[in-house]
Amino acid sequence: MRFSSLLAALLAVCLFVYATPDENPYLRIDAKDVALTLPKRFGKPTYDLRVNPITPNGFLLGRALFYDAILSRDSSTSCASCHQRFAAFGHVDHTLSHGINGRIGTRNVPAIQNEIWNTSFMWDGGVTHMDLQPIAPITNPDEMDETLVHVIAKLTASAKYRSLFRAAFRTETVTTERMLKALSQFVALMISNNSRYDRMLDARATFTEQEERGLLAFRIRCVTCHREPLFTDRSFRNNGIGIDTALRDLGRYAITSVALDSFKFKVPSLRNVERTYPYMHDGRFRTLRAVLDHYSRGTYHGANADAALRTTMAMTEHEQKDIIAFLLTLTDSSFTYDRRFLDPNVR
Amino acid sequence: MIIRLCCCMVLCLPFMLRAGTTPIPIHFDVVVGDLPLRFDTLMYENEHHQSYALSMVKFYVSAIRLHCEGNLDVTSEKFFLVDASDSASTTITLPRVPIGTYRSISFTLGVDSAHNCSGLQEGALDPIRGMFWAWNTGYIFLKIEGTAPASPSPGHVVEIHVGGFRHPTNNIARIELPIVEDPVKGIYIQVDVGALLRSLDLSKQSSLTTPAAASAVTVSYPSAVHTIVGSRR
Repeated sequence: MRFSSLLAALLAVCLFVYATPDENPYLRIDAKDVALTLPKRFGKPTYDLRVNPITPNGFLLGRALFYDAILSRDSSTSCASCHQRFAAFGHVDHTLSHGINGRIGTRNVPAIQNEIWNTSFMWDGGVTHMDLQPIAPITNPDEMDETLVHVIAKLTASAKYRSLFRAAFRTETVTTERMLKALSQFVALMISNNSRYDRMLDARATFTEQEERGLLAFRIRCVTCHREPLFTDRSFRNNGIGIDTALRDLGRYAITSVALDSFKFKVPSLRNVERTYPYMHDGRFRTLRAVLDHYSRGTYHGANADAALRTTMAMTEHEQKDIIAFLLTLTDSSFTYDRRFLDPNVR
Repeated sequence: MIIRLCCCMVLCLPFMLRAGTTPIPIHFDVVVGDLPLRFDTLMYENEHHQSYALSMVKFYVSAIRLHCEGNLDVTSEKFFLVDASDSASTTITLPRVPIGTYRSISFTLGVDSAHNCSGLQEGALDPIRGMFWAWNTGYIFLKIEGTAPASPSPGHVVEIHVGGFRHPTNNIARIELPIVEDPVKGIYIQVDVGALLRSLDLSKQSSLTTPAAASAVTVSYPSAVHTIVGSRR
């Protein structure tokens, strides 16, 4: 008698745990988790959040999609396969992007952070709106190699997704628009503004002497392109590393067909740069030191290497070390460890 | 979906009540020179004596405007995707057009830059319809696909994707054509794919899929798109 009641109690506990998996406090998302506090320093976002207001259920749907390989043709690859939370949603230690069937793309996976202030997407700026960005990796043969028609059909066939769509949009009908807007709600909250650099600006942290020197040197050498506080001026520039003859990537030229845009790529943000190695559009440099060496050397390939490089880029050994010390203050662990962006499938 | 026919609302209302309205069908007839469109048959030839077959012809028509004599023009703000393989899509009907004398019709062959730039769109403009460049945001205004023995592409395919709304290549085309008979009987617009492909050297131009490359096709729009009398169909 006692044994059977114990068993029943155990079963009840098991059932409870099974029936309410999202009660896991680490995965729960409520209204305050999706409340947006925009850092004043960053200015007004480019992305219009009034058109796509973030709701807990929209965010949850976006998160489910982001971590689900259902978006790829053979259900092997999700957004998160290449965009890793702990790497500020870049791909640690991978030179070029990886897709289904071991296919290798032509560019390094960029970090995802502060995207609602971004004005164009991808290394060549070919995508002009955040909502449209996921279509590129979903349909690229070297990435997820899937069609939108098939993705929508697969999501429609899934009871889990019908219920997630109903919760988010009050209808089970899966459309391209709803899918992409949910992904945008998830990505919109990927805001990194709590690095030691940010806290220093707010007088909530201090820099060491070396970091101070590094910041001063950075503001002489690097800030023209890596403009504070987002650490990019969002322009397209040829950083003079020269073409990889195997990839033959013409960069911005592919979008504009303007000869002067050849070999130009978007200036990436340096926030969380410690975690987004390897560097450059083709991941050619493994370390920050190698990047600074390239700029210090002063030999640039191609006729349209950026004019900003021709001025004061020859850095001394000490200066390089100081700049790297400063760059490490841009690491924002409250972003890279933010529980809201955890993979919901890992329990 | 509601077609919005804006006749400057209040101004036009008394006119509409007095004169009444009528639906006007606009038929798009895709042909290849003197030949009718037949898919997947190697039966067409360009001026380089290169034969080719067609497997797909699709294009966007938007901002249709009927130019009225003495009265306000009639405008539709809707977007239509005309797919030559789907007869339901090749006729666009403007449902409530005030009866009047219309001298010409104009429309955009493509999608205006506002709808290219402002993010997600639904309906005819849903990216799921395959008329969208994921890697270079924007709609494909006109898609012509087929095969040609002369094409060096894998499978000898011919791919012509006309798009591009940004500097320096803007391929949005505004086309104005005379109305040649009473529009109530329908407006017949012929789109001659043969004229678009006539001068292309398919041994070099089999794959035109960037805005700049597609300009080789848009230059031929004036000779390829015209209105005809319905009985000539």
